[in-house]
Amino acid sequence: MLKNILEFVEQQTTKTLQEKTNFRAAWYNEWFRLFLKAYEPDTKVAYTSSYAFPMEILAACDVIPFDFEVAGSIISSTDMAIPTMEEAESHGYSRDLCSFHRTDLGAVFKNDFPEPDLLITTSYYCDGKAKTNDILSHMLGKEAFLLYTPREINKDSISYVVKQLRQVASKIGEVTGQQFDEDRLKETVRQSNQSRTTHLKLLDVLKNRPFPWNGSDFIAYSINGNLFNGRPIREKLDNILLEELKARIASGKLRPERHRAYWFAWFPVYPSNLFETMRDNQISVALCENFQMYWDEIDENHPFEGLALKCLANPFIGPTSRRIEGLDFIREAFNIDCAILFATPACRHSKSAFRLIQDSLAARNIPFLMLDIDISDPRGYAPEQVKTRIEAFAEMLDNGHGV
Amino acid sequence: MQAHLDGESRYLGYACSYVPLEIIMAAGMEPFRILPQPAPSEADTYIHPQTCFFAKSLLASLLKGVYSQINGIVLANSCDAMSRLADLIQQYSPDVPVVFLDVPKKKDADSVKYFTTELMRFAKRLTAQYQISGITEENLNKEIKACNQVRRLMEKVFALQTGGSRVKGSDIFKLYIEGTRQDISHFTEGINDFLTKIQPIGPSDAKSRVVFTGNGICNASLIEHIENAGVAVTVVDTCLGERHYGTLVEEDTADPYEALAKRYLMKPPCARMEGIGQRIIQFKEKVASTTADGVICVVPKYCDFLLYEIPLLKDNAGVPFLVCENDYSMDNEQINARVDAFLEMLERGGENA
Repeated sequence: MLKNILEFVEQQTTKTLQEKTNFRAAWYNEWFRLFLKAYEPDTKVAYTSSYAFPMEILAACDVIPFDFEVAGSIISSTDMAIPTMEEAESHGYSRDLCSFHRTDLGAVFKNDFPEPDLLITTSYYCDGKAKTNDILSHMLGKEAFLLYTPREINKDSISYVVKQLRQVASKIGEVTGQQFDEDRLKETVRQSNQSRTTHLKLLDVLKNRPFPWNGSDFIAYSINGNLFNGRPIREKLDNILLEELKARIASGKLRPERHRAYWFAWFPVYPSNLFETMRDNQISVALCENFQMYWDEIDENHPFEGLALKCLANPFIGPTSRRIEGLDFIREAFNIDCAILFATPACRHSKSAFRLIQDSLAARNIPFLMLDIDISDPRGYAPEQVKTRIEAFAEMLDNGHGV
Repeated sequence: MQAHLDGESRYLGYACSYVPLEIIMAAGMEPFRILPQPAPSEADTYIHPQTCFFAKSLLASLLKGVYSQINGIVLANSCDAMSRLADLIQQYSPDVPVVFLDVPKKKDADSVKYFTTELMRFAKRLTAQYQISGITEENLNKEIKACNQVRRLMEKVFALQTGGSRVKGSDIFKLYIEGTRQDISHFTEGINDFLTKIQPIGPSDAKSRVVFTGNGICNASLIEHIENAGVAVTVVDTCLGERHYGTLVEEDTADPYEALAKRYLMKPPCARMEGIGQRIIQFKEKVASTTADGVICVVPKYCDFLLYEIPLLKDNAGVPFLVCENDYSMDNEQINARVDAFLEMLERGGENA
């Protein structure tokens, strides 16, 4: 089923790209082709979490990264979402657990995912991801690797993460039958640094008012764009996007906007009226937290140390205060006048301490909306309720109230 | 407030079996395990309602000043809920200083090495926060021995249940609760007293035998309910029991922090640790060794780690398995009714609930 979706979209986007260059088509084409490779015989596959694990390491190996959560999101964008989650629920997985993970587990029960050779994830962002990795490893009889990333940055935590990264590199080498090539890692790190420069240019263009992109693609790419980190295609995609955004701005045909939101966390991957309603109310997602550049250039000569620092710098590690650092800068640079926290039910790490985010915004007079909407499970999604909440928020913003 | 806070000692609260009590004791403070009264909804304006009911109750208790006599609280990154709880307490309950402890979720040699350094930092945080002159290795080794003594005695208590239910599960659970309320010397006396005075019960009298497992259990009411139905509780497997007391710390080593790091990462694991395969094996052995007829698993609402593991534990238990999701209060007629139905089914030789 997933493979059929991947093939279909890959064919459609290939056709589109034959006619003209288009960022969305290019992005989906690369993404779906990458996942399709995971189904090919004799291919070595590593399940992973691309938004968290340093993908530069996988890019340096002949192994296909298959992000099980991102793959689950593809299923959840189709009619197969509910049957797949129900499969996991029928095996006893509670509906209180993350719907992303129920989809992943259901997909494995249905033999819908390609067979992995190794499963790699991180202790951050959430407990559930690491637990799902552990369970999938048990179900599929393949080794799991957890990159434990401490909360503090100090010499001991850096050394600990470096050792783990070297260990996982060695394990990938065992899977591929090739010794891990550190020179190749230096190349992927160099590539990552180059992409970083393009990413910064993108952030600069995204400051434009009105906002030149759309919220759902922005948030989606901020997460799964990481699949390509360390690969030349990441820079290529970012450059295509950059040119498209510049052209849109130059055309003067951008949608009108009255308000610009800073977006915390995720978005519904199934069809919803959320972003359409925001657009109708002229609220843009001017910046999402996952698209921020939180890491410094990686030291190409010490790639494991550099990647360890990149991991440790992730704002989703440690206290919630790390997620709200730099709010004053963000507000000014991106002309933010409101903030939205997408609070999917099981995302405890992201939303349990919502009050800290709310109060921090209130102290800056930035109105805040928390949307309790599931990321992946459309059961319970209430379009009218979402419409009412967004409209009320917009009205409040228009009236200058609402902190 | 639990009774033993005498106003003379300096108390440091904790809420997880991964917190090394030896370091707190070596700092001249009394560790105090916090088992808040159930009040999850009272914290909903601060912590998202869809968060573990134990964590919410703990926050509610602190906000209400229930634990005003403690001098601070040690919170580990036991789970996402507890990590976020630490953030919230720091901001909204500033009278209760938080000392955070980062505990790896792995137990390999590199993780032990890292955790050793983290325990040393933890000791430094304590000495800085509470203006303690220092924690000596001598003190640390002394407290390791004191805690090991309790662990050895508790091993005897656990052994009473191995191979046959010779003591009531509710009595053992009440002993766990005593362990949260008493300082180590009184508790050592208490366990000795328990072992001397315990009235063995005959396993043959029981209608059936169950393993009682889970998290966030703050009183013995459900265990008593099971026993009142004539069913023996063969193991009380919670984070107040074997997961807290299992595995000794190596004594008189040159590096007591390393010895502690090893023990705390190697002790009987809770679901926060990686390696579900190993936990399934240990769980099956536990069920088999106690010749239980069924398993009752109690889990507070939104305790993700356990919820993720339950399907595999259930599939591998080899006996009927009841999941009792609850609001942490335990005094719940609905749960009692479900347990009654399960016990009746066991009596009739039924299958998974």
